Amino acid sequence: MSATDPRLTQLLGAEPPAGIAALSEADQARVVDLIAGARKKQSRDLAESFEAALKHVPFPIRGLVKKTLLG
Amino acid sequence: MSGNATAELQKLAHQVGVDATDLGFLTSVPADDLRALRGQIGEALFQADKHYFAKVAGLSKNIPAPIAAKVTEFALPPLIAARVAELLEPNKAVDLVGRISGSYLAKVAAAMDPGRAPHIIEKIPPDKVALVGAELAKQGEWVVIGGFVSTVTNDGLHASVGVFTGEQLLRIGFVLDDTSRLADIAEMLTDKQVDEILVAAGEHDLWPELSELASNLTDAEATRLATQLAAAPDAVREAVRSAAASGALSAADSARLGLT
Repeated sequence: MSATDPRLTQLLGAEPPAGIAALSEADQARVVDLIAGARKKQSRDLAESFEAALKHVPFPIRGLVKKTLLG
Repeated sequence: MSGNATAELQKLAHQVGVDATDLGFLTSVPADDLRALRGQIGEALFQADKHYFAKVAGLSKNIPAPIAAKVTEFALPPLIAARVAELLEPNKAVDLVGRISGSYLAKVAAAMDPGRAPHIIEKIPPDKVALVGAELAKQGEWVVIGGFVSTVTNDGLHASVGVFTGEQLLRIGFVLDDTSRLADIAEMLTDKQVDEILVAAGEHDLWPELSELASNLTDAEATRLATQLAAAPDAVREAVRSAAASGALSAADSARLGLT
């Protein structure tokens, strides 16, 4: 039985379920890639969504709204 | 692999945005562990960008609902609306839901994690639930609908079940988060829908889906399914018998369908 991939614990913020922890090293790495990919996709989709939403804000105050929302 | 594990892989694939066939390496993982992993991933995805949504939700508190609804539908992409909705105060969220179109709401629903907003979903009027359910069914969003079934009220579920075809009901039933609701759904079915379910199982090769349904029915509803099958056209009965003979339906399923 392989050890739990530390990247899984880090990405999930918790120990993975036993059935996932019992996967081979290579298969745990595939799960890591899936989760990391989903996070990247969400961040990309959100960035695109915010940009699309900001197009509806009048140009003079767009920067201010962007700073308020995105920091 | 069990039907439960197959359904869990479909839900996991939907969550991480890949095809279920890409998750073949997880077929040895028990269904309960796949479900737990999905819950952990959902939480991790939500926490990763929560700070953005919290700011938008905070802003919306000070905007009257009629204006917020118009601005939301006009300017806010569904993904952001979904995440923000999960953070809104329930009454404010329900007020907004009542003011935006069914098609936009369906897009928001497709991006939502219903388990994160049960306090909102349970307050959505039944007619709106049915409207959104029909839109999602048109788009083939079975996993999304299956997730919502756990949290909608009985009235909302009843209204939704009424708009689905037998084929849609089979596909939704297979990916329910809460399979105990299959029995509730079965009680709401018309005889026509039961007939459609039996026809759809054969026409679309939905035997795992029919098996999931049969194994979760009450004895009374199983008897009803068997009675409808006995009265079905020859081709339908023959298709079910063939599925049972080939092992696509288990011996227990066959018994519940009155074949043995």
